[in-house]
Amino acid sequence: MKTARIILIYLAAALAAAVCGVLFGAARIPLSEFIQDGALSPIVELRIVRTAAAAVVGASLAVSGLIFQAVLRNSLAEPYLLGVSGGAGLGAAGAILLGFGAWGFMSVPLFALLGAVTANLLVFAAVRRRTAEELLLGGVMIGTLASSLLMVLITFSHSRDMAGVVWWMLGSVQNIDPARQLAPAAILLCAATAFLLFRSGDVDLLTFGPEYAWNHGVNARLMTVVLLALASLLAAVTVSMAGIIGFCGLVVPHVVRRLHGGSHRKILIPAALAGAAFLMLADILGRVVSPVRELPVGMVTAAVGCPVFLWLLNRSRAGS
Amino acid sequence: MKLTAEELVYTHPGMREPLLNGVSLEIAPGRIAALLGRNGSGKSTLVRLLSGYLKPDSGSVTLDGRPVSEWPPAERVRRLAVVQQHVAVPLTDYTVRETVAMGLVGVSRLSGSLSPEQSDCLNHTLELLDLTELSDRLCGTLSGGERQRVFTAAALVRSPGLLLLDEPTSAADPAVTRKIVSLLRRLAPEVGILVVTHDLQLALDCAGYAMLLHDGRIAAAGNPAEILTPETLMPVYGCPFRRFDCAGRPVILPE
Repeated sequence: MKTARIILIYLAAALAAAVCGVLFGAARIPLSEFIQDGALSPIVELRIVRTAAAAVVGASLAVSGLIFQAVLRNSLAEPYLLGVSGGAGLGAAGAILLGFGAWGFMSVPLFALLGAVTANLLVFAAVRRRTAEELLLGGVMIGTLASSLLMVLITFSHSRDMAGVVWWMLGSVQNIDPARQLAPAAILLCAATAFLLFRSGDVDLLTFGPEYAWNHGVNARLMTVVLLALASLLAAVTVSMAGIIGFCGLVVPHVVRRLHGGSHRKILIPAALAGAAFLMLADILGRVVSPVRELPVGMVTAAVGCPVFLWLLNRSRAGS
Repeated sequence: MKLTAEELVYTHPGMREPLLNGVSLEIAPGRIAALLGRNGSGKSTLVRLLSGYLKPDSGSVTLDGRPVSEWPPAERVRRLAVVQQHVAVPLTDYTVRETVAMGLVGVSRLSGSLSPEQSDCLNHTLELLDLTELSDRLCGTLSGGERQRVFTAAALVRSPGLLLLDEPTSAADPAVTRKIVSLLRRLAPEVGILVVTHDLQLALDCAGYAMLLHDGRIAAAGNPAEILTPETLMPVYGCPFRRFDCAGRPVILPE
């Protein structure tokens, strides 16, 4: 199938999910009440922000996962591998449990971002050779250390604070500030996607291993570090605003690659659109299935993604 | 165009003794050189040093007088192409045509489209290595020998001036080996070629120069017919050899 047609199909799916995200929610609002007194209804406005947030977070996680899987040549690779989730969790829990949450709405996301970036930088600083494999091992180590410290914090915390930490760790696209969080994340996503599209030939060559990439004109060591740092930054920014949303960054790129294969030039934008559509739909499900107390979006992504993934696992790219 | 290695010393991380200890060689168009040596003697490591992928402890590798690792990557690979012995299986499966096209430098980065000249060059290379009929097959469905031909095509497609091949016929059947030998002979007047091989007969049949790597050094070098003798091979491989003539060609086999 031609690349343009593939992109159009995924774009249509993402747009359909976006429309559903605005139309459906815990409260039923007739179309006639979408505009009140010449302005959008506040609930609809919230839904638009929330849907846009789900789209940006989902697309960022999918792009990040796609790069991790390509560079590490491992279909189990996911965006949080280089210590991002452990670091962000530690930062957010630290902010909540030590009372920094009272400083304002942005304090928890900022501490989470700080934790994620610090853990990520620690990985790059601690691993001397910086090959993909060693960075992966370093990431697992730093992530485990951060998670252990997080457990220590939780152990010594009050149960009320603990609930806040657990809820944050389950992931949610609620309460995302459109100007201070969503807009910078969207800009980062667009910039990262443009860069990756331009360097997709390098990503293709890296999937054959760093030596093969070097022998075909890619500065493999530098490119590995740049790509993993960029993918981790995407993950760090999403985790700081939406918590830890599993499965999206693992499954979506894998499914798109399995369905269409070929060059990353061809699958990068479809993966981003599929990630956006997937998280928007998971968010809608979480809102609609349990309107009183919403299901955490991370739980929905796993519940929906797992059977879809298993079904696709038994399919292969046409022509193989 | 010339690739020169001078007094290369290289020690693997974590090892005390150097694997290569003062290796010097030169590769230039007009000649096929064969590099032989037992398993673990450092042949593939030497290729990695020559390509600039590894840095030597001491000594130098220069491409046209400039250190190989200091060339801009795209300029370097236009001059020097390497066919590795082992290539990782990618997560994404590419077709033969896609894989060979990746060898082209200057493919339009955003559209991925080839210029008419690049397209001609790609088709010619596919034809040269008998890959035209396989061009739409996914590489994951190919045999080891077919994959080896695909990676050779990906190196040749940009018409390099120098070519390093690490065991290019290790997975090839006799007919394909013959085809590759004749291809190398055809390229040799304009391309400098280094073939790393365990196949003594390949070295005798196609190389104009042979080097025996032993104990981290070039133990013998010269005309293959003169240096590939039972006396020189015995200390390198640790087993006796017999050499005889067959239809006017020298043949050498382990006893």
